[in-house]
Amino acid sequence: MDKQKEVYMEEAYELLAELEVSLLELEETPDDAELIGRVFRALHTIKGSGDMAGFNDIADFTHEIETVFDFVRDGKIAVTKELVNLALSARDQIRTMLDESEGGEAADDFRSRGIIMALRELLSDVSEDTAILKEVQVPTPSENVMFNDLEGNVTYRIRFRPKRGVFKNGTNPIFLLNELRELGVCSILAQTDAVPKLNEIDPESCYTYWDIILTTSRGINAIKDVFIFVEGDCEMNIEMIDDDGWLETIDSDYKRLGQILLERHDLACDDLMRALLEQKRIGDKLVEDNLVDRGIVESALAEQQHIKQVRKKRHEIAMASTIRVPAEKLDRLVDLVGELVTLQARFSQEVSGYEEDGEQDNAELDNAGMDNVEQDNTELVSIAEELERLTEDLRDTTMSIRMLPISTTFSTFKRLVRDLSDDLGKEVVMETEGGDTELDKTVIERLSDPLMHIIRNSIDHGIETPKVRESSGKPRHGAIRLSAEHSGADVLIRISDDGAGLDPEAIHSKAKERGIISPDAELSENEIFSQIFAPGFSTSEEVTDISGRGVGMDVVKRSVDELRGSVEVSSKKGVGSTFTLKLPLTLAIIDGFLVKIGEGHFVLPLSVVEECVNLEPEEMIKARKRNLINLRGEIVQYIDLRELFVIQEGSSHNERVVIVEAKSDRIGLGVDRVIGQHQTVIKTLGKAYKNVEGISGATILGDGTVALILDVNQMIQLVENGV
Amino acid sequence: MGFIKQEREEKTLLKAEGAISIYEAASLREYLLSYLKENNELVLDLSEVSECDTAGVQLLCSARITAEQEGMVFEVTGASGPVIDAMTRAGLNPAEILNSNIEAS
Repeated sequence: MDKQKEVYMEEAYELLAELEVSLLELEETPDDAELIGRVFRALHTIKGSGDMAGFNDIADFTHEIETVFDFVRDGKIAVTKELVNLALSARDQIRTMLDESEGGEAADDFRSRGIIMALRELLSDVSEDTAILKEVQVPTPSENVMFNDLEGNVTYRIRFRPKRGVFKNGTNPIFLLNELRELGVCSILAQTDAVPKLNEIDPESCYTYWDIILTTSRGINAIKDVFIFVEGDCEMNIEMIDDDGWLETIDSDYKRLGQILLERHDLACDDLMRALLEQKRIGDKLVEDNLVDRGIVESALAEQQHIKQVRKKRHEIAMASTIRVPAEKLDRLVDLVGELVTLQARFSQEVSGYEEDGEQDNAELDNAGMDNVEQDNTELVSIAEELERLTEDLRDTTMSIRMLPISTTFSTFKRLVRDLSDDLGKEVVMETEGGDTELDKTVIERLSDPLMHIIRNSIDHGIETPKVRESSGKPRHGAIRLSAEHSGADVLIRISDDGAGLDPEAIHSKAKERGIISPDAELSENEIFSQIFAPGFSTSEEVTDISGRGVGMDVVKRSVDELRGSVEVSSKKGVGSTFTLKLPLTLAIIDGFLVKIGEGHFVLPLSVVEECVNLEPEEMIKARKRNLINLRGEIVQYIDLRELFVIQEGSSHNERVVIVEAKSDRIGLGVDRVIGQHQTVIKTLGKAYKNVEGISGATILGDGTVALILDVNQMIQLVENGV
Repeated sequence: MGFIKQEREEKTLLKAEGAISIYEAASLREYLLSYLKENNELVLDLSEVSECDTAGVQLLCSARITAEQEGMVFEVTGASGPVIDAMTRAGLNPAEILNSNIEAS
């Protein structure tokens, strides 16, 4: 495929994702002109670039839907659920067409034509009265503002209230406002509510005052300088309301209208509270009750708009200074950094070894050669330290490049929830939280399937139909909540629903029936719930095509295990269920804990290591006999790793016990030697060793030897299964 | 300078010429008031206005407010560039003050 096509495909996929998100948002707020504009622009770009890149079929098809949204933009077609449905299926069709050119399944031409027909039908309704008069377009004050360079810019809210006699001093406020405009990007709104009627007005007095939002890099003093000659003739109020630091909050909205009015002292708190109680647009309500003038509300709205534009632009600038890099190059970079970390470790080890050797040699050497050697050593040691520092920086930077916010995944589920609940006749709202939580790219990609499975399950089995929900006193709408947060070196992802919850008795009996647990097993509720992750478990009586083939949850567990994570479920019957996924931030490098058994090295993830203990020889013998140790009065399971891995060489006396904790269970692992913390670059073991239980990977040590990375969760499982 | 009464298509309208500024404001107000009294409506032609300042803009606002509150017709048959420019620069939407049926000349 030629380069231009490749670039187009990449761009188009991105635009389609954006389009989907915008359409779904539009369904919730059908009047949002900005959203409509976003949809239109996405379509327009898909069409335009498609034409240029030679995707004529896509361009032609997109043109149809673009035309419809052109009318929507002009307010001639209303946004309805039907329109959104149609637009979404058109979007899917464009995607299929793109997939096709990448060797995917052929797009169904019949389907394309069907969509086009439906779109044209929408148009036929309006084409008769397209002669709606266009109003004279006069630029509003805040329009056509240009944001060129926003660096170091601060936004101020200025209220300029001249005294009555200001005109008589020969001041024309328009000139002052013009000077302000020169300072930066300005939204100016005149407040004329105090202007009296002709028979009452003194035409030489000033009744007007101004609300100004100014984004400038020139500082507050430049603003004050503008008004320096009218200082005594006016009231001035300048407040800083936004600066560069707001870049991160691009997604979050600016202050609410009520908040702005309170800040400006245009409205009393009590009045706002009272007005908020009514189910109306707050601005209209306040004007209706004569609490504030219309102009004041408009000015506050203008402030919202201004800040929104500034932030958007700032975000765009930040985005523009990014470049696209193929993922393979990034993977390669991480590999290389991994090797560099390994090599650096080896270098450091050699240098410290050399230092020790050097000291020994020095003792034997004549005084003559000593100075020289010592100097070399210090030099080398400082180089090694410098190299270590640099390597660490490089590693951290490289890892951060691979981090992506999880919101990208979250937004794809919004569509899933919508379509699924429609299919099943259920009403479900999805909420997300912590979408800006960052995770390694690979983790995010591989997380998509298990998350999708859990959400499908929640909608299919968890959330009840509106009827059932109402009869049990719940709101018609079921809710699914997706949240992500950092927790140490892990990320916690929770999927909760307010559905029927899991039925422990049903699960218990099913698990017995399927032979997953022994008939007389006494299990706690949590243990019962965890049975749903067992292979071949499904409680749904009938198999639906959404979930319930009995392969669901064990697949989830396996995928999460592969990501070195864990999954837990908690639930209350009738109230809902929560799935919690615990995942490592990155898959490439972990903080490890290096131990030695015989001649072999092993790495434990540092995060699970609790402590290391020395046992008395007689305790040790007992421990090995019973596979239990007594840890300060607490009985802890004990695994002799030498025995487990059948290692014969070296001394057969375990000297240390490493206590690890995972799944809220502690076990002691018997090892020969504890070496300490180790930066572990994770390598996969390859196909042949993929299914070895208890081992999750390998790493290369400084001296080039290979160390196996132990999977503590699986080891505990092994112990529980009595191996 | 000042307002000139004109008859056009069976309508009496006030045509402004020259500047609408602080210097003319007082006399313009008188014109507007007496015209209002006679005609019970306000039809303005601002297409020949050569200059407008904040006081002028404010006076036009007052005229509009007056007509609105008294329930009278307020119509602007045309507005010159300086008028529209002054309104825009003063932070007002000319379309709102002058109604939508204007053409910048």
